[in-house]
Amino acid sequence: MASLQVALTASTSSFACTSRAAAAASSSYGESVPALAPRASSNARSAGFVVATGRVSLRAFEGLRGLSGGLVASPVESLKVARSSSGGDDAGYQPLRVYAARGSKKIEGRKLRVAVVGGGPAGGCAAETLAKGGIETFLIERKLDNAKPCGGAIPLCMVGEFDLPPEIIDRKVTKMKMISPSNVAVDVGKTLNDDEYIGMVRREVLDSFLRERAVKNGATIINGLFLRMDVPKDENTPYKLHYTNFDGASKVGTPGVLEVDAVIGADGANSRVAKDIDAGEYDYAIAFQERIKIPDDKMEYYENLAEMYVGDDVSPDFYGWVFPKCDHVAVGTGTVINKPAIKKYQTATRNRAKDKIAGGKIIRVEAHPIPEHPRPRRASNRVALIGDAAGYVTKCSGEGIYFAAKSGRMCAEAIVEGSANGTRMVDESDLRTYLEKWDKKYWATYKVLDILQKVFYRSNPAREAFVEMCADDYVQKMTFDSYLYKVVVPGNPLDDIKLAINTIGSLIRANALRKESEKMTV
Amino acid sequence: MAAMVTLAKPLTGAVVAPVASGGALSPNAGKSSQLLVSCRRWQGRYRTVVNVESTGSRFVVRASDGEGLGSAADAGGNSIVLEVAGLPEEPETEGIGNLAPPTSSPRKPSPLAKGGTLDGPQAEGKAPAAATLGKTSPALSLGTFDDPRWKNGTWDLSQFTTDGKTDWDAVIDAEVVRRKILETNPVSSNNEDEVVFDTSIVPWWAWVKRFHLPEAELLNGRAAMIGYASGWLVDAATGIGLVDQQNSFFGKLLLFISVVGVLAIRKTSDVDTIRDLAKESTYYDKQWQATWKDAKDPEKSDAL
Repeated sequence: MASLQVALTASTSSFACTSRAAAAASSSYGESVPALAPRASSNARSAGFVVATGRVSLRAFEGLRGLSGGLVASPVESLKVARSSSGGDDAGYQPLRVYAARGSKKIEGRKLRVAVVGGGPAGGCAAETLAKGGIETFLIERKLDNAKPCGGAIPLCMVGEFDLPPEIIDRKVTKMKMISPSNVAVDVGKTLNDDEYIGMVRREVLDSFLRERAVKNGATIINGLFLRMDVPKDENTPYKLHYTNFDGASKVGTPGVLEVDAVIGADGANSRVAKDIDAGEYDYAIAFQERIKIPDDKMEYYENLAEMYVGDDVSPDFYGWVFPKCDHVAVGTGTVINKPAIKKYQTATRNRAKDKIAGGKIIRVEAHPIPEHPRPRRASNRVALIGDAAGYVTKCSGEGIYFAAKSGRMCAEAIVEGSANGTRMVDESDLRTYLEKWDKKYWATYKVLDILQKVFYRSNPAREAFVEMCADDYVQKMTFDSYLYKVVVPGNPLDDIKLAINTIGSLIRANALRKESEKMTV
Repeated sequence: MAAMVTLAKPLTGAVVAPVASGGALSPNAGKSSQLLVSCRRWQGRYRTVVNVESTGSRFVVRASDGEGLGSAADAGGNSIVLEVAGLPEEPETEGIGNLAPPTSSPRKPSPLAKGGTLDGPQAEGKAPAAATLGKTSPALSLGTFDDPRWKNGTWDLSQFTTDGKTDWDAVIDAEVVRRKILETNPVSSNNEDEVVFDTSIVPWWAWVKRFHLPEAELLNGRAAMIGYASGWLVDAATGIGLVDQQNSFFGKLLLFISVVGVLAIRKTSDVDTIRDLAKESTYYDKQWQATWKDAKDPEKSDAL
């Protein structure tokens, strides 16, 4: 593993040097990058998540469960300890040293200018890290009080990693109920510690907090709608962003132009930046949600409990949910393959929760696309995509907030490093560094969730088996650990084998019952 | 002027995006022809599941008034909200009132028809229940689940027991009926009558006896017939007896292939299923690695 890292570093720097020397970068990108990257990704894939034997960060996993540590009271504590000791969330991991920027042009007389298009979690965290790194940052956001339709669930690690104040979190969900097609209800959450929870936030509150923090660090917020971008033909011309400025001078907005050296596209699932760089299309789910104000006694049931409904009636390839918000619940569902029927699925979800939300009034209806997989091209010249614009939403759970924020931070860090704190021009290799780091770090998480979705959201028997498996304590522990801390924790192998056998048994039994029911002609 | 400029631009997925300040646009002759032009221009850029009737000749341009649909009035091009608004309303759930009147506008559903949307029975899921496909008898669709042996959210096993022996087949049958009825008529999940039934209360040998053994008999019968027939044919063709046939590596290999084949491929459609499964298992990886191929053409996204 160490040798691979050295090889990667060496080849990265040699690649960078040749590209500098050539000064006609595009052809060398085409050849060198595929040679470089598949090694990393195939390595990650073939060895699974056990890949990094040279990485100290795996040892930190044991600290999570208190196996070698034992001094720390809880996984949260150990995370905090690890973070403070190393000053980063990769405890002890030596980042790839990319020397690409050493050969790149030094900018005279000014700092590197970067525009972040979109001011959600991704844009806000990217702008903050860029500004902290000494780069002139512009954050373009079209609606500063936007309440993005969203489940609003954030994992525990996000609170720690992004220093979120406790006021931001409306509710701490500690119990989840999974309900199968035949209404078998399983309570999940018995294995949580007292200080572990899933945070429910209001998007407008979270987004503005992150943006304000970026401003405090030196970023400039432009309240404007990004229209399009002029992509330069060579590496000396800046990117020209055309936008409509809503600075209050006129009601309709005045056209504005911004010239920057690099652009980060953080404008969400309908990203225009992605369109401008021909990033390609992706499959997306439509998530449809109704906010329902229910009577107080019914609201008590949802005090810190969220529900998940699975079934053919609720969605053919996703789940329906009831998530508690500040003073109401959000009832919704989603689907990829049968989008026109979304309202039918929503009615079915409401019907399944009917007894628990009876007497409620719908106060708001919202919908939004959710990407299902990353776009074919996530970086192009000096433009990179992060968050939903890149397609970093997990399957199975549809989680995107944490990954948006994290990708924003990682991309910004790559730019800061590649430009040596804003003194040098960046280019595509610096952005590719961020992509490489991202893929290497989170590929296992995404793949595991993809497998779970493919296996357990496949059919009603599979969903019944899924809910049956969720009753198991080991499953709950593994699920919450991987969700709350975003690490694919290798558990005890014996327990894993037992789990595998139980899963196969559940699936077989459920499918056998289905086959019998098909024979039935009542 | 600003409004005209906005309309002329090809916008992501949107037919038309309302102007930022939320003003409603009214269709007039000059603008609609420009709309046509802009729409046809970006039609060509999408190589996904295309809704053929989307090259329509006229459509109503209307900004939703933002009341019922949260961020719809934004100019950000969240057109999917506008499309969803255009879907036909579904019957209300009892006891839930709707304060926000839904807006409905006839527009072509383009964002709802692409991005992985499938057509026909495929859209119901990978393995939809017969009930979901609408293939149930009227008797079942009117029925509710009402079995006296179901107590406290699970089957009361004492009611299936005679002389100390539990009739597991009857338990399995009862559960099959319950699931079928609930698939056809989903019922609201209730906190008072929580269902806690777990299929693992039925012991493993009951499952084996009922489901595995008949199928095993079938497959063994097939294997025996295939084996005997091919053994006889090879003997007739080459004169090598049954024992000598299996002495060679080739013979052993053929034997292995036929055993696996009988197990894996029980119907002709199983070949397609296996091929689809193989494709499916690597599809997500390919989507992730697309950015490293640096392809000029964006990957065609066929939904699985």
